[in-house]
Amino acid sequence: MNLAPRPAAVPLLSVTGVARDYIHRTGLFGRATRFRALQDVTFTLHRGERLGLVGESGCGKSTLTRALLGLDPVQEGSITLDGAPVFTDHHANTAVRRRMQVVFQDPYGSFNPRHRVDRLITEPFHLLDHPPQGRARAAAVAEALEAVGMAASDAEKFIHEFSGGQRQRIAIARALIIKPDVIVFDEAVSALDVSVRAQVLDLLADLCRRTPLSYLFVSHDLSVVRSVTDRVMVMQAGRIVEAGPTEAVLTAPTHPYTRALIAAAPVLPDPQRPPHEPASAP
Amino acid sequence: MKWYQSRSLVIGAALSALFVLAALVSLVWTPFNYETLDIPNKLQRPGSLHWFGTDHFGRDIFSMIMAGARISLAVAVLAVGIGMGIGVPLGLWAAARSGGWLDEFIMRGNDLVFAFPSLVIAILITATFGPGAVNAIIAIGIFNIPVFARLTRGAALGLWERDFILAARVASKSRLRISVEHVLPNITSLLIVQGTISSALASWPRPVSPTSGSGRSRRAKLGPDAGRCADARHPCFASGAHPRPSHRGDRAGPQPDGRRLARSDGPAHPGGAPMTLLAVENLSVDIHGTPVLRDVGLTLDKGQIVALTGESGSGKSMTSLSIMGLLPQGATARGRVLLEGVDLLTRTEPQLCALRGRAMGMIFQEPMTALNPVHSIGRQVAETIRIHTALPRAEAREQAAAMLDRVGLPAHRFALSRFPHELSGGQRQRVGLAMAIALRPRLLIADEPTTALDVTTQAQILDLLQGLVADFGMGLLLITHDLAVVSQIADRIVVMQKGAVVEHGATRALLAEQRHPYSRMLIGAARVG
Repeated sequence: MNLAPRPAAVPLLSVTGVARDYIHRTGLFGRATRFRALQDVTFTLHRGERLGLVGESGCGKSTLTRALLGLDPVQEGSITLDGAPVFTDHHANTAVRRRMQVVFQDPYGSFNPRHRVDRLITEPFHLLDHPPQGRARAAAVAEALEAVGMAASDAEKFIHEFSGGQRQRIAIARALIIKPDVIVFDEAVSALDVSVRAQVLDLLADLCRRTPLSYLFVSHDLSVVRSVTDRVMVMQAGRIVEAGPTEAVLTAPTHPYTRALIAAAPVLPDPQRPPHEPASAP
Repeated sequence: MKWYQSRSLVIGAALSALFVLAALVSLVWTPFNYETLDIPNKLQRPGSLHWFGTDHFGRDIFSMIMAGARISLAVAVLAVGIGMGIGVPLGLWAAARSGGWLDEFIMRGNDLVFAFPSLVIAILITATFGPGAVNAIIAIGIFNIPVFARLTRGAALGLWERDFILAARVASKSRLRISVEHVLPNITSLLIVQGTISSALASWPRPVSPTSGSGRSRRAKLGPDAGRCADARHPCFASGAHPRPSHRGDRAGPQPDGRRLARSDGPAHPGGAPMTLLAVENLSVDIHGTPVLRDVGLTLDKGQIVALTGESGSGKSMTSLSIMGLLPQGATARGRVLLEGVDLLTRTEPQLCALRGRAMGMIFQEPMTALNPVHSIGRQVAETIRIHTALPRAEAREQAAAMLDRVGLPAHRFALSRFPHELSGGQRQRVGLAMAIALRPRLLIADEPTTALDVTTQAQILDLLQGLVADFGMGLLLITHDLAVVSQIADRIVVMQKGAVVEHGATRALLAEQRHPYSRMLIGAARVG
């Protein structure tokens, strides 16, 4: 898949020394124990950069995503977008939030089943001081839907009328509608069939070619990250253990954990090469 | 479907309307004055004059019912109104602030009302304000508040974890606004049911005596919790031994020796040629007349792994359900499904039940759905064994421990007393696997067993499956949408599209050359991804 060339590096999202603790209490009078889910996480997402984050479940990917979106506070370090913190005194910073959007994993759980598509994808308008009204709103809805390969008339439908792949397109439309600076894709294609997944990834590459997008693509699947990111970070037990250009990390991993991840990923054998071991089919 | 096409709705609405009408008409007219005593005409039979007869004092029963409906309705509507009007907002608020002091405060307040004997409150209210319908309504209403608060909080808490609420929070919507816009509409169906039950209970007692009235709310209190605990997940389901009313039960085939199937353990054909374990021939399935499978055919030998692949909706799962005899209601199957030469489609439900778990096991995509969250893993595996054998409890437990050990959950690290929620996804899938293979079935069906797991865990589970197939000489039918997953371990691949098999062959041959354009597309997609 061809991504558009990457523009010059201007820092956009900066994460510095972030740590996040969860407090566990065992029993009624048990002592509270701290579990450090993120440790000293530092990275920068540059404008126009497509950054990947991989690791197995439980490694802290989701915790980091929630912190980036300002849903949870962090105990140490700072997360800033263009210099402004995403989380300020107990609340997410609205000024920052309107510049970030998210696409979730579950195409079935990320929409309120009671609302029509047009209401679902305009939800981010709530972040704007002067959201478009009337005709401008309808035009924005149509534009967002058409950008992801859906029809403007789909705005009138309910979410249950769409397949998983279509729903994920709608989720992307919802993220695009306020033209955010950063989009976080949280396992956005993990729940899709391989062929549908390929279509959604194609769509993403296509969107990148039309308008420069900056995004963080979170996934447990290295092969997915390979096709849609310039740079990738590998996370293990709350730490980033390896980072670098995607192709370099995937072809010549330096950290043993990255190597284990790559080895675990199933790949189709190359039919050109003779098999290592004969298939035991009769 | 328009509302008037629903028979139950029309009948229910008509009855309710009749009730309301009787109450309204009684305001201006009743056949007799319901308070007038007419001793000479006491205890009359129903007739043209007194439609429902008369009581001990000669009062007209029909008139009394009409007037009584007025009070019953008022009690029902107002008492539930009080309960909902206060309880629902409290519950929503508590859920939105879950874990905070406000949540604690609201919920402990609810507990206080619950804990207080309702009779005492009712007597208190009556003693303070005097008897009467209004006081009864208030008393019942107060006891309805915690019912609705708890119900609302419980349902709302589940919703707050959902992604669409997270999306709304990312859009910086306030908790109040999210509660009203997103949470409330999604719990209305629950509230309507509880409201209906509560109003029925509230209007049930004669509201002339407030004590009996408020006593009713105690019964209503059971409503939400009792409903939530209902759980269809049964431990035997993981092994497929789920009792189900059969659509096939009435046309039982010849009674073969079901035991022969169930007993022939392990490699039962020493020295013989690899025998066909499973043969599906010309299997066609219709659901309510709509064809979902067309002439599906596949074979599986002992010790072989066959991958059944295709996109969602291609009929993979329907094929596996046909083999297990777990087709949904309204489905009819034609063709043959031969397990060691015996046609499963002609088996009765009890016969199939004996085969599931014993001769064939199944594991599912989401291991949590196959496990009962309130039973320990040891108990669940042991129960699967005990359902099918007469083993004493202790021995079944021992076997369960051995089986869990075999799937990589040794008892010294994973005690049998652990609960499913204490395990990771991969470990749960191992428990599901232990249950499925506990009785050493000769056919194992794995429906997307690794789709919910991440790559490293996936590799471990696939490895385990491969080892089990080799050790037990099982046949494994592996259902997946991801060809890359199976390309390493499957002997043969069967590709399905729109309910039909479009291509099949030995793994390597099929990967090297695909004859059908759909297979080409599927493999192309796997390479890109």
